[in-house]
Amino acid sequence: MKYYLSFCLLFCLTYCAQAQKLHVEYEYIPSAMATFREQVYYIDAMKTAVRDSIPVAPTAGDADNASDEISADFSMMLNTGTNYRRIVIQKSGERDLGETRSLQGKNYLVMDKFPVIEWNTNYTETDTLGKYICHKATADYRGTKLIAYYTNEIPVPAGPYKFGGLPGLIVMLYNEGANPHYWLLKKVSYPYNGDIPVDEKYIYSLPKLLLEDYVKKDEVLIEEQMRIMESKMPVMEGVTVERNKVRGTVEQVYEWESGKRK
Amino acid sequence: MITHSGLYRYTLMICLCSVVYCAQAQLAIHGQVTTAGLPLGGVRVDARLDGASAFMAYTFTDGNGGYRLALGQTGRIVVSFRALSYEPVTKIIELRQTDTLLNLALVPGGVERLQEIIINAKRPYGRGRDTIELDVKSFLQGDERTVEDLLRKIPGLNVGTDGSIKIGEKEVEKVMIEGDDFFEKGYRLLTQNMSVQPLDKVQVLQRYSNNKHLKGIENSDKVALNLQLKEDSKNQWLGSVSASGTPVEPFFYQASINVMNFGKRNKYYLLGTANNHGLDALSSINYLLYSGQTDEPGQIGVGITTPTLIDNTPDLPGFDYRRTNFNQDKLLSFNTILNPSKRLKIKWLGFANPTKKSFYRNTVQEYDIEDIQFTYTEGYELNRKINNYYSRWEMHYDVSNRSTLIYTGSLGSLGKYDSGALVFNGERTTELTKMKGYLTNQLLTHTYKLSDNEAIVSSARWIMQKSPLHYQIDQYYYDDLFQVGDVSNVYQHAKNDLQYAGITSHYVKKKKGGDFMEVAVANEYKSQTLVTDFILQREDGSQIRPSGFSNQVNFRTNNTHVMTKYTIKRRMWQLTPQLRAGFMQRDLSNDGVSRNQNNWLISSSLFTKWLIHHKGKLEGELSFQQMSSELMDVVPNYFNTGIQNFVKGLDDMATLNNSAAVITYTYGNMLDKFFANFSLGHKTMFDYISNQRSLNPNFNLTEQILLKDKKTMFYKAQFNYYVKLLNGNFRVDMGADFSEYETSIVGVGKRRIESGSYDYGLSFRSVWKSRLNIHSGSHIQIRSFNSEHMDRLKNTYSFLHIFFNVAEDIQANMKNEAYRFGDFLSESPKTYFFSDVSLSYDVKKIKTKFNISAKNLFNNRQFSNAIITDTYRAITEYRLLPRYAALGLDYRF
Repeated sequence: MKYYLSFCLLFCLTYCAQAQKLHVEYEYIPSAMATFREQVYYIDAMKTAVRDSIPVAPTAGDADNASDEISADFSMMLNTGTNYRRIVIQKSGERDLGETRSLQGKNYLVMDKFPVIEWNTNYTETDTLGKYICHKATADYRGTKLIAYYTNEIPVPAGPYKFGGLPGLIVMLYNEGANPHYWLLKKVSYPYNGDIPVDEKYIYSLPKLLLEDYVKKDEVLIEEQMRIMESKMPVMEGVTVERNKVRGTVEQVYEWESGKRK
Repeated sequence: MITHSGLYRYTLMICLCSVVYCAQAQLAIHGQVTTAGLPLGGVRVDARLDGASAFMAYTFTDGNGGYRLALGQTGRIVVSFRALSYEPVTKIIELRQTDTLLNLALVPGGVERLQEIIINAKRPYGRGRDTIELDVKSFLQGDERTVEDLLRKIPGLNVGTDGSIKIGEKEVEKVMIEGDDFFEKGYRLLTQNMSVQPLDKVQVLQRYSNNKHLKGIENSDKVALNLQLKEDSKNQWLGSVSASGTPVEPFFYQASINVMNFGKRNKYYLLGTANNHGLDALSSINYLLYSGQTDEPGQIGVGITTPTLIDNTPDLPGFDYRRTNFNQDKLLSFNTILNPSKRLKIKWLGFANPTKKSFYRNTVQEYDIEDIQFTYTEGYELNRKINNYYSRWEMHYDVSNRSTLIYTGSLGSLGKYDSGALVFNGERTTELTKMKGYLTNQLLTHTYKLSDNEAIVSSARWIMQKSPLHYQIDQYYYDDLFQVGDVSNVYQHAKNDLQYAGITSHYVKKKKGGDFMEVAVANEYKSQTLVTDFILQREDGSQIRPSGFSNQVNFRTNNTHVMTKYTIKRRMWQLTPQLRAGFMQRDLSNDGVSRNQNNWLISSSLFTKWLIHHKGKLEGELSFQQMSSELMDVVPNYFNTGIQNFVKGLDDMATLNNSAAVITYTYGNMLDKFFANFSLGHKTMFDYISNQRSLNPNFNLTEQILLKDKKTMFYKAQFNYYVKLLNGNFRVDMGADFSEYETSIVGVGKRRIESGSYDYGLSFRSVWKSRLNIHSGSHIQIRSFNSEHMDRLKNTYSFLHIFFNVAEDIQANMKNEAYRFGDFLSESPKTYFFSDVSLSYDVKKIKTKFNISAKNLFNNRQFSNAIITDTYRAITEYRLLPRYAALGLDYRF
C-alpha cells in the first residue's frame, strides 16, 4: 500500500512537472481558393490538431479574397457529402495516429501507421517569420518533399496536421510541387488553460478504418466522379485524358504503394 | 548440427557485434533532467560542437525526464537544455567517455508566457504572390529529355497525351521562356521539343494577366507557365521534322520542320511546312498572327477591315473542309524575340504563304415563288493562287515600374488570283477574280498603374488597307437586264480602301470587396472609299457603263463615345450594368454629292448571375443597342458580287435599334451524374435591313430595304446523364429558333416569312476502363420557311468514333460519319458514309513517332449538301479528295 501511495504521488508530481500546455493556431492554405483554421493543442507530449470544416470567411475589404469568390463561381467541387472537422490525435511514443475523415458524409476514425519523418536540419538558411528567426528543415514524406521553418525559441516538437519532431515549433510548412499546401503559424498561447474541444469518447467510438482501406475507398469514389466528368467533356481527336495522377492532399504516395505509383 | 568451426565463426561474429555496439555506445550522452527533484519531460536537449551553429543531434526528454543523444564524434561539445517555463542551461563537456552521463536540474524561469499573434508577411498567395516557383533540380530523376518530360514529374501538373498541360482541370494559357512567348496555346511545339538541360526554374503563374500591370486588377483566372533558364545556358538549336506521304497513287504528302533556339536574351523560331492533303497551312500559325485578346481593357479598332465584295470560298458548316480542299500549301515563317536591355523587348515575325487551291462544285438552285419558277444551275471549277506576305513587329518598353509602352505594327501584301471555269445555266464561261491588296496596322498602347487596384490603359491605332478587285467574265448573260447586245466580256473594277484612326483611354479599378469598375472614352474616325466600275465590253471594242451599276462612294464616320461598366460582386450574386453613349457624325458622298448626319448612339445592358442554390445557377442579360449602318448598307448603286448577283445598299444612313433578353439556367456541373442547362432568348429588332429581290434565271438584283419589327426567339437545352451500368454519359441536345420578318420580291411584293430551325441530338460517350472507348451519336436538323407555302428540309448526321489503346505507345483511332439529306429537288434522300483510321506508334527511345493514316475509306468522290433559304432551295455537290493511305514519321531533335 505504501508503495502504491508513493507511486501515485510520484506520478502526480511527474505529471505536474512535465505539463507543457501549448495552444497554437495555423492557417492551412491548400490552394489560393481557400484558407482553413487549424488549432493544435500540445499537452503532455500528446498532440491534437483540429481543422475547421469550413473555410475562413473573406474579411471585408480583402480584395484578394473577394476575387477568390469570383473564381469559385467557375470552379467545381467534388461532392463529398457532409464535411466534418478534421481531427488528428498523436500520442507521444505511439506510432499509430488517429485521424477523423469522412466518406460520403459519414465520419470515420482512420488509423495511420505513421512513418518516422527524418528531418534534415543541416541548413544554414534562416528566415524571419513574424518575430521569430526560423531555421529551415526538409524531409521526404509520402512522395513529396516537405519544407519547414521552425523556431528554436519555442522548444516544442509540435507542428500542424501530422507534422512535428523538429527542435522547435513549426512556423511555416509546405510541400514542394505545383499544388503546394501551406501551413502558417497565426497564434501562440502558453500556458494554455482551456480544454481541448474534442470529445475523445466520440472520436474513439467512430467506426475505425485503416488508412489504406480509407484511401482505397475514397479514391474509388473520386475516380467515379472523374469518370462522370470525363464522359461529359468534349472529345478531341487523338486525345486521351490522364486521370488521377495527383492526390489533392500533401500525401501523394503511401507506404503500401511505393514502387507502384510514379 | 553446428560444427566446431561454425561455432567459432558465430562466437567471432557475436564478439564483433558487441565491439560495434560498444563503439557506438561510446559516442552518446545520456541522463535525466529534473526540476525540484522531480523528473521533467518535454525538455529539448541538443548538442553541437563548440563554435558550430548546426546541431549534431537533438532529442526531447521522455516522461521520466530521461534522454539519450547519440553523437557521431568526440570533442568539446556544447549541450543545451531548453523548455518553456524553465531557464535554459548550457553545459560544455569534453566527450571522451564511452557513454557520458549528464544529469541536470532545471530551475523555473525563461519563457513563462506566450500570447502572440503572428503577422506573417510571407503569404503564399495573394496580391503579387501568385507565383509558385519550382526548382528544376528537385524534380530531375535523370531520364528527362524534353521540358514535357520534366513537367510530367511535377506534382500538380497534368500533361495529356496530346501534350496539353493542365493545372487541376484548367489548361495553361501559354508557356513562356524568360517571360517571352511565341506560341500562346500552341505551346506544345515548345514543351515537346525543348531540352530540359538549360532550365533552372519553372514558375506557375496564377491569375495571369497578359498585360502585366493589370495583374490583380483585372478579373482573371488564367494560368501560365514561365521557364527560367540557367545563367550560363548556351543557345541551343532544337526542333522537329515530320513527313508523311502515300506510297502509291494518288500522291499526297505533308512535310514540316520546326527549328528553334532559345537563349536567355534572344529567341528564334523557324517554321516551314508544305502539304497537299487539304490542310490550310496558315492555320498552323494563327497563334502567332492573332496574339492578344479582344476582351481586354484598352482595345480599339479590333476587327476593322475592308468589306469583302466577292468571295468564292466554299462554305460547308459542320463538314471537314479538308475533304474538299485540293491544295498545294506552302508556308515559311521566321520569328524572333530580342531583349536588347532589361526594359526593352522586340518581337518580330514574318511569313510567306504561296498556296494553290482548287475545288469543284455543282449547284442547282430552285426558285418557286408564285409565278416566279425557274431552276438555276452552275458548274464551277475554281483554281486559286494565293501569295500572302506578312510581317508583324512588337516593341515593349518599360518606362518605369508602373508603366509600359507597347508598339505593334504590321505590314501585309495579300494577293489572290481566282480563275473559275463556269458552266452557268448550260453556257461556259471563264471567271477571273484578281485581288492585290495591302494592309498596314499600327498600334501604340500605354499602360499606367496608378495603384495596386487601379490602372489606365490608353491606345491609339491607325489602319490603312487597300483591297482593289478586278472581276471579269467572258460571257454575257444580262441581255434582259441591260437590253444591250453583242457584249463579249463583262468587267468590274473596284477600289476598296479604308483608313482608320482610333484613340481610347480605359480606366480599370478593382474596388474593395471585389467590385470592378471600368470607364473608357474613345474616338474613332473611319474613312472608306468604294469605287466600282461596271463595264460591258462589246465585240467591237467599245465599252458601255450601264447607269446605276457603278459607284463612287466615300463614307466617313467619326464616333466619340464613353463606356462605363460596374460589376457588383457578392457571394451569391453578381450584377453588371453597362452604358455606352456616343455621338456619331457621318458623311456620305456619292459622285461628289455629299450628305451628312449627326446623331447620338446609346447602348445599355444589364447582366446578372445568381447562385440560386448549391447546384443551380441563373444568368440573365437585358440589352438595348443602337447601331449605325456600315459601308455596304449605304452603297447607292448596284455592284457585282459574283456571276449571278448584283447588290446595292439603302443609299441612306440608318440607325438600327434592337433590344434583347437572354436567360440561362444551369443545374449541376460536369462532376454530377445529372448536369443540364437551358437557355431562352428573345430579340426585337425595331429597325432591320432586309432585301428586295428581282429574280431572273441569269441574274438576281438585290436591293437593301429598311423595315421595322423583326422578332426572333430561341431556346436551347442540354441534358447529360451518367449511367453507371454502362460507364458512360448520355447527352440530349435540343434547340430551336424562330424568326418573323419581311422581305420583298419584285412582281410578288412584300412577303411575311416565318422561319424555324430545330436541332435534336443524342450521343453517348464511354469512359470504360478497358483499352477501347467509343463516342457515338446522331443529330437531326430541320429547317423550315413558311410564306406562300411551307418549305422544309431535314438533314441528319450520325457518327461513331472508336479509340483504342493497343499498347502504352500505340494508339489507334477510327472515325465514322454518315450524312443524310432530305428529299427535295426531285432527288431521293442520299446517305454518305465516311471513314478515316489512324494508327500511331511512339518510339520514345529514338525520339520518333511513326504513323499510318487512311482517309475516306469508302472513296466518296462527291458530296452533296442541301440548303433552303427564304427564296430558293439548293443542292450543292462538291468534289472530294479520294481515298488514300499515308505513312509518316515525326522526329524530334
